[in-house]
Amino acid sequence: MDRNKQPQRIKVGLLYSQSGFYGVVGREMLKGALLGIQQINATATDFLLEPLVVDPGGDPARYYQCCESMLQKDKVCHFIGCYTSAARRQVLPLIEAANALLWHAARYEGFESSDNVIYVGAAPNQHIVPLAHHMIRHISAEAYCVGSNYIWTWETTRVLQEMVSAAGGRLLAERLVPLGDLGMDFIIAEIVRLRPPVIFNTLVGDSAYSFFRAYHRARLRVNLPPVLSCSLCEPELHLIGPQAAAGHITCSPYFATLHNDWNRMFVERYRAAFGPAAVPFADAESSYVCAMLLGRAIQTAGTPDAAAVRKAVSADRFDAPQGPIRIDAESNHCFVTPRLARSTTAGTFDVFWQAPQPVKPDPFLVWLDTDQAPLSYKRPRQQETPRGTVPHLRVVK
Amino acid sequence: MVSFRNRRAVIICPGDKDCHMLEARLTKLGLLVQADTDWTPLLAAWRPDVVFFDVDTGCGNLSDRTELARSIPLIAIIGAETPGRLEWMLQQQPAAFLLRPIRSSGVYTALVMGFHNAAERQELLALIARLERRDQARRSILAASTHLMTTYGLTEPAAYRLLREAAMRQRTTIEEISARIEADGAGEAAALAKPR
Repeated sequence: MDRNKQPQRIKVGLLYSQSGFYGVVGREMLKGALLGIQQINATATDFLLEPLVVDPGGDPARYYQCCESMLQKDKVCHFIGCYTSAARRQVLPLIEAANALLWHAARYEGFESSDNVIYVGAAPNQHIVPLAHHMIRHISAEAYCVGSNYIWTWETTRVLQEMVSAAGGRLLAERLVPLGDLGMDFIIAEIVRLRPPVIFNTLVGDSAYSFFRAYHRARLRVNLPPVLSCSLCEPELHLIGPQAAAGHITCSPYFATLHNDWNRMFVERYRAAFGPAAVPFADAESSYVCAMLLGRAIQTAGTPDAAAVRKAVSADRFDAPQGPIRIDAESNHCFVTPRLARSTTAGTFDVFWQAPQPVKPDPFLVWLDTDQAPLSYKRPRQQETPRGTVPHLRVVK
Repeated sequence: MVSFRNRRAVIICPGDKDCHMLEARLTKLGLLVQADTDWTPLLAAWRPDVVFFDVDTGCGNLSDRTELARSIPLIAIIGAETPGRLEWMLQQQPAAFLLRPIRSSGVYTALVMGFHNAAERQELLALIARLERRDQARRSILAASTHLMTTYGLTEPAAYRLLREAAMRQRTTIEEISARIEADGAGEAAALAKPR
C-alpha cells in the first residue's frame, strides 16, 4: 500500500453542548457542523476531517477542560463550536496560546476580535442594528424592552437605547428576567396597562417561550403590537406553539424558507441526514458554513496550519445557503446579508426585507452613526402613548 | 519596594478558575484572602484592604461600594470588553483592573496601581473637603465682618480684629465665632462688641 496516497486525517474539535439549558440549540448546531464535514469529506481528495465530539453540557468550565484536553491529547488545531459568549471566552485563551482556530457560528454581541477565531455568526451591526432601524422607521421609537438578565440583553439594549435616543424616542421600560425564569405575569400585566407601540424582546430559551405564550393569551383580550426579537428561530416557533409564535418579527441572515438553489440543496441534505421533519435554522446553517469554510480553506492552503488556513479563508467566496458570504480579513468576521422576517402559523418565516448586499461586519460598532438613524421618525400622538409617566427603570445591577 | 504582606483581600466572584488563580496569586504575594460570591456583612466586618469584583456577572451586592471605593481600592476583573459592562464597571469606581484570563503576571501591577490610585483619590478627597471647608469659612468670616462693619461702623481690619480677639478670648477659632454670628446675627455680635 502506498502510504502517501492515504488522505491526511485532520481532527476537528466540535464544542457543542448537547445537554444543559441550551442543549436544544447545541444539538442542532452539531448537526449543521457534521453535515458540513460530511460534505467536505465526500469531495476532498487528499484529506479527511475527523470530528471529535464532546458535550460540555453548557458549563463554561467544562468547555475549558474539553478544549484543553483536545489540544493536548489530540493535537486538535481546528475547533467548531461555542454558543454563549461565556463559553467562548473560556476557550479563547487556550486557543490563542496554542495558535489554533475556533470557527464560531453563533451571533453575538460583538466587541471582540481575535486572530484565532473566525466569526461566522452575525456581528451586532448585522442583526441588532437592522432590527432597530426597522423598528424606528416603521413602527415606533418608543419601545418596551424585555430580556433575560445577561450580557447579550445588556449590550443589545444599550445599542437600542442609543439608537432610539438619537431618533428622539426612548425606552419605555427595560424589564430583566433571570435566565430560565418562567414568571411573566408582571410583565404581561404591565404591557397590557402601558400599551407600548412595540415590544423589543431579548429573552432566551424557556423564558422566551413562556413569554410568547402569555403574550398570546393577553392578545386574545386586548390589541397588542408584534414582538421584535434578535434570536427567534424556526425550532422555537414549534416549541412556542403555532398561534402564539405567529406574526412576530425577527432579524437573521438565514431562514429555512430562503428561495435559492444553495438553500434548497442544503435543506434537502439536512433532511436526508436528520429526518424529513428536520428544519435547519440560522445557527445550524452557520455551523454548516463553518465546516464548509474550514474544509475549503484547508483544500486551498494544502495544509491545516492555522495561519495558512486563515489566509485562505479570507480569500474564499462561498455561496452559502444564506447566499454569498466571505470573511473580512481585517476583523475575521463574516460579510452576511441581514434579513427581516415575520413568523407564520406554519412555524416558518416570511422574509419581507433584506439588505441589498452582504454587509461588512463591524464588531465594535465603529461605523454605527446614530445621527444617521431615521430622521423621519415622529413622536406618536398623545392618545397612542401610555398614560402617565413611565419611569425608565434600569434593573441592571 | 511595595509589599502587601498581611493585607486583607476579598474576591467577590462566581468561584471559577480565574478566581482560584487570583486567590493563589494573592496568597503568594503575602495577602490574606477571602473569596465569596457575595459581599456579606461578615466580609465587611473583616475590614479588607482591597476588594476584587467581577464585571462580567456583576455578582455580589456591593451596595455600599461608593463608600468602600472612598476608603480602599476596588479592583475590577474584566472578561467581556463590551461598553455596557465597562460602563457598569466605572460606576463601581475601581482603582485598577485585571483582565481575564488571570495569569501569573499582572496581579502585582493591579495591586500596586490600585493602592496607589486609592491613596491618591483619598488625598484628593481630603484636599477637596479641606478646601470646601475653607471656602465655607471664608464666606462666613466675610459675612460676620460685614455684619460688624455695618452695625458698628467699623473698618474691615477693625471688624476682623474684633473677631480674632473674641476667638482668642473664647478659645475657639475665628471661623467658629463667625459661624455663630452668621447663625444668630445680632445677639452674638452685640456680645462681641460689648467692651469688656
